[in-house]
Amino acid sequence: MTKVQLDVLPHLDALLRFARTLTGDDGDADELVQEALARALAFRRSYDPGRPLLAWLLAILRNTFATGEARRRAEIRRNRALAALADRFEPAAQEDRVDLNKTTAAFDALPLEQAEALHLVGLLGFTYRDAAELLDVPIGTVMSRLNRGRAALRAHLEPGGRAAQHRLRIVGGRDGSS
Amino acid sequence: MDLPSRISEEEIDRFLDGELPPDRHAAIEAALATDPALADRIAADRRIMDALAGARAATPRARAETLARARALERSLRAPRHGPALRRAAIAAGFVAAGWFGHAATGWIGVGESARQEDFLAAARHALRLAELDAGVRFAEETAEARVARLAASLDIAMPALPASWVVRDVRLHPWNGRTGLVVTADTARLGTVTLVAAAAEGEDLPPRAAGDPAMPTIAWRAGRTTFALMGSAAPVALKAAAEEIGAAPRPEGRRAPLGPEAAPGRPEAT
Repeated sequence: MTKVQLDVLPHLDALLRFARTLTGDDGDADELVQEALARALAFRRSYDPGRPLLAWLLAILRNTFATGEARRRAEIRRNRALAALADRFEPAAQEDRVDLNKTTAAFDALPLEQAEALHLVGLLGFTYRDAAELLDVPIGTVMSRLNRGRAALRAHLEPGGRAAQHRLRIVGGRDGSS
Repeated sequence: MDLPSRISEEEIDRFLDGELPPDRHAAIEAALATDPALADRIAADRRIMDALAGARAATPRARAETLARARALERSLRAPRHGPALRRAAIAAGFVAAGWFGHAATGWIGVGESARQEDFLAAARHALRLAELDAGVRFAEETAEARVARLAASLDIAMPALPASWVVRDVRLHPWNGRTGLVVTADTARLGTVTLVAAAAEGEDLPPRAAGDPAMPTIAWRAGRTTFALMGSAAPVALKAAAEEIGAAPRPEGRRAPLGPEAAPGRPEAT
């Protein structure tokens, strides 16, 4: 029988990074994690030891964000990031690596739904199913958000948006609904 | 077979995210060697995700308060799942052991020998014997409700049927002034977690009434030579309603007068 993992501290960095993706600010990220941990303590009986602790904590973090003041500030930051990105956009030169600062700027400007889907699947390695469960949306919606998020990043970060209009003979695609 | 022409946006994403079946994943891997456009596209997405991982590697600094909360949550999650219920049971058992709800000073529930001092070692031996009994006679297939009934019968306690909506979490015995108390902890929809203590007692039936302890709202009553105390964090008036429901429930035959305000004329009701 698998030993139940109840260590919170090893997940703290992951919580802070996800909170940073949600809020777009280090200070707000820390405050959000604090509040989420307090909620988790209050609702600790709702935790099912048979399920991954990180997913439970991330869900609480996300709910805390959705109902808190940090969300309004994050929305303002996202709009500013998007405006700044449009103002200073210069097509990148052909490079093997993508500039980290530009990556951060492009990611911070993504709509929240796309950013959190990319964070869960692309950075934390969640499966589509697990991400869909945490985000409380169908798997198809997760995939749509990932696809649109990647397209937006390519448009901003790849030379001439080359990859954004890749020359593949694409079959299908999605309508982008979420 | 013109594989790239059959690759959809969805498949590219699934490929990048490791969500393709192995055979389809291998087919796309093979196609990368012959289709520069596909290879460019996949490489671009990988570059971006690598850069994103690098950009997001730095973690916002956790303040001391955040760390403290994380540790508090960790401690709490590691505590026994029914910790609060068991703590309540322990407190309830403590009340019973102290003869609290039969305290002579209240002049209310005169449980007779409640003031009798027990020798510490005798009490300890009693507790040990009960613990052995409690642990030794558990039946693997026994439900909590069956356990309540069996122990109540063995202790000559007139245990009424508990409300059907109660989910019994813990049933234990506890020594009480040379006798034995039955402590039942249950989750309820309306009252949260409650603990019902029952112990054999002499004397007339007495209706439920609040017994004042702000830290632990309690309703106590006596019926059928059994003294009861219902404790929980709900409002005393809600506990009292539950106590009256329990008191009105059928009890084993051979017990004395049914519970009710008329059982103790002249007694003031308290809520």
